Amino acid sequence: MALLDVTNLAVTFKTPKGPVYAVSDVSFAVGKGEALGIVGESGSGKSVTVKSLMGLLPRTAKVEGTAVYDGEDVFNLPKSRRKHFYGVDVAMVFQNPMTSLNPVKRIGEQLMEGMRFHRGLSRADAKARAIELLDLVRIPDPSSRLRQYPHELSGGMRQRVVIAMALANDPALLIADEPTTALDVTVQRDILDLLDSLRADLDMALILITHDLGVVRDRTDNIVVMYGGRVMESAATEDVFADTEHPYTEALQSAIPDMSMPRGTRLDPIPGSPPDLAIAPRSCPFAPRCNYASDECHTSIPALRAVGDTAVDAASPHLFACFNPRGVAANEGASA
Amino acid sequence: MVGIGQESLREGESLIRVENLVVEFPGPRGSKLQAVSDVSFDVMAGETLGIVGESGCGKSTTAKAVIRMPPPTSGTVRYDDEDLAALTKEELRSRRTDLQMIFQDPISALNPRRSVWDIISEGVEIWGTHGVWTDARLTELISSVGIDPQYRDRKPFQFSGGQCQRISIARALALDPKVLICDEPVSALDVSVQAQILNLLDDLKTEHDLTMLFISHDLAVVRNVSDRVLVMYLGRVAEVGDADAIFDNPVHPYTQALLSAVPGSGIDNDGSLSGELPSPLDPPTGCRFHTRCSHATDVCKTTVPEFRQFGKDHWAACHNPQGTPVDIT
Repeated sequence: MALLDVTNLAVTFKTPKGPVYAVSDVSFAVGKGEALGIVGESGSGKSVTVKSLMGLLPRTAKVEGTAVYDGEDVFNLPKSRRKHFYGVDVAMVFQNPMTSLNPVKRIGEQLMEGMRFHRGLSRADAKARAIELLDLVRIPDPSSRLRQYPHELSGGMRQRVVIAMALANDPALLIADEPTTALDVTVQRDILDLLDSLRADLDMALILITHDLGVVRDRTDNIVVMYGGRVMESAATEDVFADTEHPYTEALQSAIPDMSMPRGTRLDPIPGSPPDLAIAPRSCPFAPRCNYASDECHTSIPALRAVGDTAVDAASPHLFACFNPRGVAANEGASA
Repeated sequence: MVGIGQESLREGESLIRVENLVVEFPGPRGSKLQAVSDVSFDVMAGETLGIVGESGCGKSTTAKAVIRMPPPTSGTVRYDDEDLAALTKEELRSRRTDLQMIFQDPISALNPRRSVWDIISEGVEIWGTHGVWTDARLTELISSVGIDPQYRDRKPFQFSGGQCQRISIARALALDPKVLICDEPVSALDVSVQAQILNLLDDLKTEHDLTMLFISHDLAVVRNVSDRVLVMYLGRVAEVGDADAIFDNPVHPYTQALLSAVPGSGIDNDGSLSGELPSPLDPPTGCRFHTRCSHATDVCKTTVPEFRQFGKDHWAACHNPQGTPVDIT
């Protein structure tokens, strides 16, 4: 059974100009110790999806659907349980490490705060654990770092500290929202490698949110590709790349320059701009920008369906929401 | 102080020629932070030079020093065979139209209270080039960057990030520049929009006969646009040369580490970067990269490596290069 099972999640924001449909009909599951990549551009609803799970959305947000974590209904946790659910069972790391840390408190204080609150550790025990955590995230000379302030650390080091804070209470699920977007490529690789090894060592599940397909390619078990608040394609990572079904997933891959391309290679940009989420979804959100859109795409929303014989109840079925798929499913449709 | 040399400078007519560029900023307690130390490079007319490196390596400062924003501490910048430092304020101002810049964050680069038309035509107003840039031609320019001219009275907040970057590009082009300095022009954009802007820059470069300095931390983007590449580390040039040579056959351990760090690069490099970027306030002696280099030897700690040639247009400053120097004259 999956550790976290999200079904038909929908998030709508109330605004003075009317509702904004940020997330519609999103379902996915993460197994124990598994890594899931959620890929999408800004406005795709990837961050809103995980923020709804973390209870971080403003009151103007209306959340529908269910999220079950280890048998518990995440959206209806009693207040007393919520206090320890977040930070102990599930922890989160954000994009910008500088804004995640309190600039006027020492690293050590910030690391120990969570442990002392959730586990009632003594100062000495918490300090020992803090040193252990900094060591775990491979920060050199951890005991002297405890007395430093965030501004004394580089961007990569700060993100390591934030990861250490998230790990303080041994979460079973870590959500990382664009953890490396603000960092250099060299540091990015170190942080992603670190998350990989921590996941293996601590048997922790990971949801990695990114706009970069390259980041999730070698590091996740499953991928969910989102666009306009909906799931476009969802499958085991190797299936997404070996047999890309959705035109959006395909377009994302060909729009990104690749180092192996000779200079001056013309890219295939995705024409147009992302959809206006204030309009109630009635058609495929990608249809206006899609090269393969047919009449059907502009009038109805394609349901998620599975490729070939990968049954919907399989461990990780290859699902896609498109009337004109591009991969193996295209031929199936023609012969049927 | 021994510099790393100017061997990489080419003979012949270069549009921009930078020699021994040094840019210093005041540091804490009277110290000096040298953001750019003894950098020399040249750019031929019509060429695109990509400048890459991690944050803090001085790539933006280098490009900005070319347009004297701020003026370099020492070193010369020759543009069109003219020493920019020797010009009077008024003369320098008249050269500014030739050298235009587009920035990373397109939204903050535009005045939020002015319309697109005002933003794009302001330069024409100031320079009195209405004769050349008639309203009809400006309208044409706006549509050539992919903005519908019927939205000319809208303000920047009514456009997306990608569209704002298009407006910034049109604003720069309305002054008929010869050189376009692009400082991380696609880093703040979504991947689907990135490709649109890169293709647009490529089209406009041909159409307007532009020379470009293209700064980016994204190596795949730099590979896509650059004829030549300058790899910088902590204020110094590590490797410079033809883009294909640098990407296909890097010889500097830093370039190799940088390339192998790109997700999905497929390059397995055991010499991955160890440790942190040293403080530019107190840069390491000798080769500045020696503290993180897996090939470093004793000589790297004491002597600044000089440029050596590794191909027709391929230079690297390293004592232990991962390739054989050649002597081509």
